[in-house]
Amino acid sequence: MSWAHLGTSIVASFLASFVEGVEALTVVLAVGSVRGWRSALWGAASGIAVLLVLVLLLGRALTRIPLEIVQCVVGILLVLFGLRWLRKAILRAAGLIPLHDEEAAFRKNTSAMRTADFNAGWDKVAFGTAFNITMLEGTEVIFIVIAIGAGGTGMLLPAGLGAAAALLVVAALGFILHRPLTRVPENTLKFAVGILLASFGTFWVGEGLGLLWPGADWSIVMLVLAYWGLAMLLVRLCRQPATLSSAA
Amino acid sequence: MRWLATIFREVLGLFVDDGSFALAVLVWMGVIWLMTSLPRFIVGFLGMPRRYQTYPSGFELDFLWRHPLAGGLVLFAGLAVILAESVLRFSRKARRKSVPV
Repeated sequence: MSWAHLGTSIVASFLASFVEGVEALTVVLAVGSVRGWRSALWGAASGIAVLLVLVLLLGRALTRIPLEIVQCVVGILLVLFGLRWLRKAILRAAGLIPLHDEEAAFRKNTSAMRTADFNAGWDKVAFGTAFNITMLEGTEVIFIVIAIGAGGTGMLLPAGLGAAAALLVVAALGFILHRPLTRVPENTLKFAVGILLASFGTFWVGEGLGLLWPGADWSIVMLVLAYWGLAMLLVRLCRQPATLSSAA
Repeated sequence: MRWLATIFREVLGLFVDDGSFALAVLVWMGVIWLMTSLPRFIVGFLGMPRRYQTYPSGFELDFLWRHPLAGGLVLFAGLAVILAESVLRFSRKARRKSVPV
């Protein structure tokens, strides 16, 4: 296993999990600050527990399937997932769709929590909301970890470590700051993760189909550079006409 | 059964937000798969023994696709074109909406 493979796996897994973690943290903070922390934290913890069981089951099942099939299927899903993120990040960077605003999401969630019925003792609304958001964002993290980890023998551990490190960082920041992480350049992160995941996906689909890559594993780095160059070009192309039309 | 539909919708949403974009990506990967395997299927159908991996190297049927500078690059180029077309199409649509005629 080369460093090109190992390093990009850890970075991709860390960045993707960080972005998803920030989105989940915003909602859990909104729930906790309005409805109380006990039910919100129990909801989030239960979500994480269910996700861990899923990882163990899926991870074990994946090891029984031939690597070429796993690479091909996971590669196709990664290409779809990565290109979807990259497309959205390009459109956001070009100013064609609005940027994701954690502050606005926090405000929206806190006002929704205030209007929901209060229950003395065990708060089902708080528990359910925290559980749902943890499951939803966590499913994306799990998919990314499993997809990156399925690329070769022993890859699940570095991918898992990257994700675990990201979630620890997000949890620690949430605990210290007690407010949403508005300064995280989320679109830049999504841009980077989209490029990394699309590159991994393209590489694995090729591997699964039996195509040869120049430089073997190092072509992942080439793919990253190629997707990055293309994305930057597209941002420029999409921005230019808007500037011209606004100037006119 | 509603929860099952919700889960399906959420999982599908992870991979697809623009149907035609996702479809184009899938079709392109299908085309690559066909182009890598079709020669073998055809000659096999015509009666050539299937154990092509035992042939001497001069008989490789998918030389182009197994060349390091061909297969992978063609796969990437197609995906790049699909991404560029989708982004530029969205951009044109957004501009048409923002500038009333």
